[in-house]
This record gives sequence, structure tokens and C-alpha cells, in this order.
Amino acid sequence: MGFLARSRERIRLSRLRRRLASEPRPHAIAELARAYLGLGEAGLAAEVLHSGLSQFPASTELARVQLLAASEEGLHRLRAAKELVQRSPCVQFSLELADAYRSLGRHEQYAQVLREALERYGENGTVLAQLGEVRLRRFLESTAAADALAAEGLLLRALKVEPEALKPRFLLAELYYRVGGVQHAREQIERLLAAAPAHERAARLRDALDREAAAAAAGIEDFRSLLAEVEERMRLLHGRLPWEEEPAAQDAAAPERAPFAEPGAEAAALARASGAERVLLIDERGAAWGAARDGAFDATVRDLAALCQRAARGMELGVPASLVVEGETGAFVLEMKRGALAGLVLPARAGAGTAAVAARDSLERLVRG
Amino acid sequence: MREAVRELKERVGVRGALVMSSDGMVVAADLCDGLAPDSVAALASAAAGQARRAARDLGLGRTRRIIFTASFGRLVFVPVDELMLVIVTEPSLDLELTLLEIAGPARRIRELSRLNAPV
Repeated sequence: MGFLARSRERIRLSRLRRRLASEPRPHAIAELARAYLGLGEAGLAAEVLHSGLSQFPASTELARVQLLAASEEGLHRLRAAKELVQRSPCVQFSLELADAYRSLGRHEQYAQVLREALERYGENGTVLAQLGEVRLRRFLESTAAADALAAEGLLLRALKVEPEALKPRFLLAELYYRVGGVQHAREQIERLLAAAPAHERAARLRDALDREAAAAAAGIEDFRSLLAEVEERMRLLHGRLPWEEEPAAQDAAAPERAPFAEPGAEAAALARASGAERVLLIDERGAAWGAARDGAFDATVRDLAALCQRAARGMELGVPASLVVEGETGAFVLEMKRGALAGLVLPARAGAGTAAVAARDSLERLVRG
Repeated sequence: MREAVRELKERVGVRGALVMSSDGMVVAADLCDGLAPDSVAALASAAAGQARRAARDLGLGRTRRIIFTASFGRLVFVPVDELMLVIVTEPSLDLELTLLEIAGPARRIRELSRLNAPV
């Protein structure tokens, strides 16, 4: 529609609007709103619909046009947000784009934009909180422990970035409450209410927690056994509950070993500590110890290290750190640090994780030594 | 297959996933910006091939999984019959959780690959 035609249409619609003010009819109001939408005047359409629905609240036609208007407005907002992101990319515009997707009910794209924003702009409290919320909602549908753990991780990261933020704290409290972590939920809620006493949803959640506590005190064993079941399932899946302290790393728990003295002895110690059948240590200058006399193994370790370098460079993954190849009858572990290498062949029964920790420890001492 | 790959990418911390043939042909891919499927498949195919040969030479039997970790990312290779599933994740993501997350979609991809295999 050209400029003149649009102007004429606007004048016609203004007249129609004035006439409708004196003699309102639902069908004509709906027509007017549609015409405004056609002109791209979403604000005027919303105004007309609001006035029409206040006079004819039961009109299904007006309700339908209102839905259409909301979707048109959403699409307009989405287009504008996309333009903003393309023109001057920043985290705020990515959040605006994500919100536009959410308002249209496109939840997949909403989460995708948030994930991309996180990847592109790094840790951001709002982005992390929104992603945490996505994962929490998914957990409420799936009841999968993995979703709960992921939601917890994201919300804790959000609180690390913005410790005073209310939303992630409330969501974290809700998550703990849903998985039965009543005490942890209460801690979060008390903290939130101390910062924002007027937070209604937090107050409601605290009331629910109080009721749960009263029920438990009254001896409702079903509830306790349900909690125990949930906790047991989460422990089975992840080894610990989301609110429990992460177990100390095995290398941190191990007693401090003497400074690196003799590489051959270190290779032997590494073989004992990891249960490896073959161990090879190579320092940053290329000198090797351990299974060094096994030329084929030496070549394999060096070839795989070179391969890791190439792959990391090709895919811009940064500095290669480790490679684990798990086979049916054993595993190969290659740890890399500042040019030094540790290669281990493990039997099926040995844990690759434990061996990798031991190898990292040895490498650390080798490069320091 | 594409849907299963997309589903994998929806998991938290997963930057992308692709399914490729043993010679590096991309069957399905959904990777984040900056990672071109063909380049990743070419590198991944070479890396997985060499790692599998090494595993065979070292007497480890058939390869079940390959995990490569670098400072900015982690690659998890899971052989799916004749195909290879490659998942690119955040390096800091808990490995056990990642493996748990990808188990379901990997199973689905295996079923799909069997359905599509020539009789």
C-alpha cells in the first residue's frame, strides 16, 4: 500500500472509529482492529480491542482478533529484535530476542538464543537464570534427575555472577523444594525474604515449606520415604545430591608426594597408583621413561598427542588436555601438559578417571621438576 | 536422525552434534556457529580413525567411546554401528552427566541407523 493509500485508509478508519464510539457493534470493532493490524498499527488495534472487549466481553470474534493481534505484535517485536542483534550484537539485545521468541511460545528458539548468548558473551546472571528456569520447567515435566542437576548448576552460576539477584534464588529454592531438599529450599527462601520481604511467591513457598515441616513432624512416613526414594535415585545417577558438597578431588585428598625426583621412578609409581599395564612419561624435550623401550607404544603416544594438537587447532578448541579411548578390554589414557605427555594402557577393571587424575599429578610434577 | 541430533544439541552444555560415516561423510549435523559440519567431520573422522587403530594395536578390542578434552571444548565420539556420533560439549561439563545425557539420543540414533540400513 502506498503512502497516499495508507493515509486515506487511516482517515477512513478514524471516522469509522468515531462512529463506533457512538454506536458500537462487535463485528465492526473486530473489522476495525483487523484493518489497523493490516496497517501495522498494532498499538491502535490493541486499543480498539481493549475498548471492544470491555463492552462485549463474551464476543468470540473479538477474542480471536485479540489473539491475532498478540501474535502480530509478537512477530513485529521479533523482527525488530533480530535487526537489533544483527546491527549491534550485545547481551541485552540477545535477551530481547529470546524474550520475543518466548512471547510467541517458541520455547526451543528461546533457549537456543540464550545458550548462544552465554557462549558468545560469557557468564551473565540474567542469561544463566533464564536458562536455569528453562531447565527447571523441563524438570517439572520430565522429573529427570539430569534436568534438576543442570538447572541447579545454571542457577548457582547465575548467583555466583549476581549474588543479590532474586529470580535465580527463588528458582533455586523452588527446585530444592521440588526435589525434596526442604532444608536447602528454606535456606534460600529465608535469604531471599531477608533481601525482599515483599516477595509474594517466596512468601507462598515458605508457607508451603512450613506445611511440609508440620506434616513431617506429624509423622507422615510416606512423605519421608518418598524423599528418601528421590534422594536415592539422584545419588545413583550422580553420586551425590545437588545440595551436598562436591567430594574432594582424589588428587587433593591424596597425601602430597615428594617433589619429582627421578622420572623412571615416577613412571613406576604412576603405574602402581593407576593400575596401568603400561606407562610412558615423555617430558617437554621428548625424553621418555617407563615403557620407553617399547618403540611401538612410544610412537603411538606421540602420534596420538600430535593428532590431538591437530584436532584442537582445527576446531579451535584451545590447548589439548586429555584423550581417553575406551575399548572392550581396556582403555588408553593420554594426558598432556605443556608439551609433556603421559600415556597409560589400563586393563578393563581399572578406572580411567582415577588413572587420569594420577597421570595429571605425575605430569604436573614432571613439568615442575 | 536430524531430530535426534537436534535433541542432543538441546542438552545443556552441548554445543553441537553430528553423525558421520566412517569416511567422514556427514549424515546429520547440528553445530553451533563457528563450527562447519564438513570440517568437523573431516577432523573427527581422521582423529577417530587413528584413535581406533591405536586401540586395536594396543589390544583394547573394539572401541566403545573416545573422549578428547581441550581447554575450550570436549569431543565425545560414540560409535553407532557403522556410523560415528560426535558430540561437542563445554569442557567444564561433568563428564558422567554428559554421558548420561547423550545415552538416550545415541540409542535412538542407533535404532534409526538400523532402520535405514540396506537389507
